[in-house]
Amino acid sequence: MSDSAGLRSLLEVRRYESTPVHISGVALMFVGIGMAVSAVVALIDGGGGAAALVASAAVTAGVGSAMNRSTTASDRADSPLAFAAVAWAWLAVSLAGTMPYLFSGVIAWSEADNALFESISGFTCTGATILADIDSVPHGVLFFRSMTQWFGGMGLIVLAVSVLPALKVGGLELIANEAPGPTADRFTPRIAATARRLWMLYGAFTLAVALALLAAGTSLFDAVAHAFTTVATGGFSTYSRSIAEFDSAAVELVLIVGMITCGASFSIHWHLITRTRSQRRSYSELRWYLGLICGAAAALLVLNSGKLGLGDNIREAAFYAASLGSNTGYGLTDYTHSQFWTPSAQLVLLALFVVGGMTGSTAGGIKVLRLQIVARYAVREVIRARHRRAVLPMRLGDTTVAEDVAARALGFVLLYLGLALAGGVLMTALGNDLETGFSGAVSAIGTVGPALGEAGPTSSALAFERASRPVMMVLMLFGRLEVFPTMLMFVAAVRAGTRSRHRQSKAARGRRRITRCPARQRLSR
Amino acid sequence: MTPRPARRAAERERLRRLVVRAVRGADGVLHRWARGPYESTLAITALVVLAAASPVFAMCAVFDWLLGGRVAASGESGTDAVPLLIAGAAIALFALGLLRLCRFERRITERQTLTALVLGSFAAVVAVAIAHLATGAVEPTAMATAFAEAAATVTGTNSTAIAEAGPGSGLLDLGGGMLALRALGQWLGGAAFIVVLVRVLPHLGVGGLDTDGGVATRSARRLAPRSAGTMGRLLLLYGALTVLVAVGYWSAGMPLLQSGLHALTTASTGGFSTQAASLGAFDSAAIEWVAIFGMAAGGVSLPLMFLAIRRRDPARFIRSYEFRLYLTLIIFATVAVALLPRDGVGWMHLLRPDHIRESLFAVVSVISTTGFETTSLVDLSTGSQALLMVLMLIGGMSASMAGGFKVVRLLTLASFIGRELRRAIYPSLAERLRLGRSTISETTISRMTGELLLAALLIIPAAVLLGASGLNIVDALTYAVSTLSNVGPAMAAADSTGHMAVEGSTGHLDAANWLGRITAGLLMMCGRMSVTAAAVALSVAAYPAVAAVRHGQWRRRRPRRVSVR
Repeated sequence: MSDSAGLRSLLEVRRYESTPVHISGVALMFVGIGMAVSAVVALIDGGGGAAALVASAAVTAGVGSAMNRSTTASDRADSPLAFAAVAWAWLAVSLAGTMPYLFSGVIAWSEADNALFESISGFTCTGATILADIDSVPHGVLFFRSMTQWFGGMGLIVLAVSVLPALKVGGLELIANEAPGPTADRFTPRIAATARRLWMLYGAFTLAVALALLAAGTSLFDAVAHAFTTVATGGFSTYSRSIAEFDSAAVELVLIVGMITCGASFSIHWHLITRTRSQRRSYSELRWYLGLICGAAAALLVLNSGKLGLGDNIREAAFYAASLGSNTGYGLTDYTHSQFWTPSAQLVLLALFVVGGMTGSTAGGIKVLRLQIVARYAVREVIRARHRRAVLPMRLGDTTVAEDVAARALGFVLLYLGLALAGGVLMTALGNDLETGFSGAVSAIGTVGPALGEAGPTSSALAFERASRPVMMVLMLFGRLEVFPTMLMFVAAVRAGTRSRHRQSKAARGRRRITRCPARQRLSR
Repeated sequence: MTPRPARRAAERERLRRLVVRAVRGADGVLHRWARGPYESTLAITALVVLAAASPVFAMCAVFDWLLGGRVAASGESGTDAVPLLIAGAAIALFALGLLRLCRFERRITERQTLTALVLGSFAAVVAVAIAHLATGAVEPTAMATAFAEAAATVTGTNSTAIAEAGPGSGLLDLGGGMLALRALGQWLGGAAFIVVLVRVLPHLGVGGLDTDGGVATRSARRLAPRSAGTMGRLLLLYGALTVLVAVGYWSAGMPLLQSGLHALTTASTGGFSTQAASLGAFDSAAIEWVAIFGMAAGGVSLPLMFLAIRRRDPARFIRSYEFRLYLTLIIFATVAVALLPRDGVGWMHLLRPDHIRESLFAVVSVISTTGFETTSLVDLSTGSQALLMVLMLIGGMSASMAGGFKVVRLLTLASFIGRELRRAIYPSLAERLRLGRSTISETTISRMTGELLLAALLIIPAAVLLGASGLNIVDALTYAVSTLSNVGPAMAAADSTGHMAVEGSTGHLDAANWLGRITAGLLMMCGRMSVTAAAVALSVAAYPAVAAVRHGQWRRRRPRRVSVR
């Protein structure tokens, strides 16, 4: 150690304090490893793309480690900083994820925006794809593509279970004390402990789904790739026809169970498996979630009864209720085709797009918990209109939801709906028709994947006008990170800028180094 | 305020006394008449509304008998007069007979007021539906259609299944009496809404419209010391506006009777027309400008207008946050609708000199929830259709004749969202929301949110029902939005089945079967009375069932969790 002291001091460049860059670096290094693994798959498969994957792995890992080494994480952990770290990390890995597509020639350089779309759709676990002919893509790249969703889900599960609830985003503090692991600890070690447990569970689920798929008769490659995207509720398939390619009831059953399981809260899974007590409220959300999926399946059965035979009808209803109720987005037959599905059945799907899965899972949408809060809130207002002075605490299961928590949740829902509407208007203004545009916006912000209209489950996102796809990318990033972090990702940078300006001006005047920034002082008042 | 000349004041005082005496007299007669064994305010409300419908029917019958031929497609007078008279008389007899059996309750609770409101509007709808059935405006068996048409009349929605009288005639297949009844129904529905707005809703605080930065109903209560006076003033303004619009139409070249009928539906933001092609049939720029003015005025808060006129203070408009946003929305949307490239023609429509007027007309018609049309909405670009749909959701100002969610609620909820964004950064931030100088209470916000969320929870199931009744996805969704906001026209998808050609934009009701027509009618009523009020009425109606579940044998027993510590 001591002999390389000179070298070390040479390497010890000044480290800048920047949590977002530091965290993004870590994320990039992980993604680099994923690319390397995909390169191995490509080599074994022999279908090409290995060189491209190795090159992108090298670039990604190199840039990632450089970013990580040149910065330190700040010891302060306030919300804006955490928002910025999360949002920038997602953006960084999405940018890095374009490389394998571009280097391997799967997507031409002239369509780099498409590569970014595919990458964002992967890391946000959306599942909308711009690859028109998936079957001809090298397996190594396809493996990487599925892996982007798996990585996205991996980061997301920690975010959804412990980080965002700890930051009280959108009323999620309701589930803050359900996270597995120590709850009374300090923020950072607590998250690390939780993350270890969650990733264990996540890996176990992936393995289980992969084994079940193998048993159901798929190839090893398909099993692993689909397990990745099922557990992450992503929805990328390795075939253009998605799950219809297998044409196997067993595969569908495995995926239905897998999707419903992974759209449910991972905290609950943990507590159920380890037999530790969980709060009753979380079971009330689980009841609603399962009820919603069953209700949707029943509604689809009734509404489609004239169009499909009974067997097909049951199969499709169960599959799509699970696929869209967990916001995964696998496709079976094309439900947008009026020959098979009635318009009202499609509208039921639209409702599923909006609601999505449970909190504490990788599913998107406004989440069942918030739907519960919304419903209770609306009903309470009706009761209040009848009995004006009634004091009505809002109950979910056995817990009482505090007013400010409900307000956060409502604020989230309103913002979400507003963004979806605005996105829909933008999408149609940029050339899509009403149905495709609006459902595309709802699907993107709910990180579902398929939409209605021209962009059904068997057609690609190329159905959206090219100019409107950036809107979808932004919506996907918004929806994925529970809207607030993405909206507030610049706050930390602005604050840091203010702080450094302040510090410089103070230093110029020869005063002592200040420790508190103006914004913090305003906060503490 | 400048002192008024004594003579006018005395005249006004005499008039006021006359009105008060008339109202008191009617009230007394009612109290003396209704002395039956059954104590029910709800029944009395419904029956009084029914009874009040018969003079309206009689008026329309007389109108039909005298002048009906000038507006009717058949050119004959008096086709509707006899059925209307008979229907009116029958309804009156029925209502008065039952009233005799009822008695006023000593105390009225709040939830009864709300239920009475809902029941009263249902009674009005029933009366108008009977008129539609009796005159043969709809098939005698088509109850659902009659209900939807009547709901459209009472709530001021331009949604109709009534077709053109014949190819090329351009007129709706209705007699003069029904045309008058429908127009008058929309106008009276609007007037009744003002009464509800001033007299009922502020006391109940439904939907949070009683607080809006001191421009709408809260200041409406301040127009005069008593709400009866406020009501009178607002109704006067409403009447004056109608006359003004009628004169405008007439001087713009519309035939006199047509101007009257159109003025009734313009000022009330109802939107029914005598023409199959709506206002587009007249093909006159002047008429359209009058309509734009009338509709825009119908979407402006009446109390605000009243105060601005009374105090001769036009700057009051500009001081109102809500009016500023309303105007901004109109201007922004007009520019967007005018500039967006249209299907097939691209930017070529910009070369036409009237495209600004056309865009303005579409925007104002939609945001004021009137629903008049010149060009069909589907001829606009898809982007503008999406924008118009959002404007439909927003609707006009609070305390105006317009439906929809109301601009002030949008304003409030936007600041609510803003606060939540700030709270995401400063988790323990305590901040009161403000609109101008006044703060908005948390109760108001929760009422507004509750209303919005109820509407949001309603739209998708309603769209599913509409879809099940034969509309396609875009039709079903936009029509659900359109009827809930009391607009009427909706967007149609360009479908291979030729929906666009069939439906135009008011033909949605026509394309739906009975299920869709009933859904549409109910949506219109929910939209007009606010979803909260409808839900309260429903909960009152469903109370026996709820009680049975809650207290009866089906009660779900919640196991008490025993915590061992």
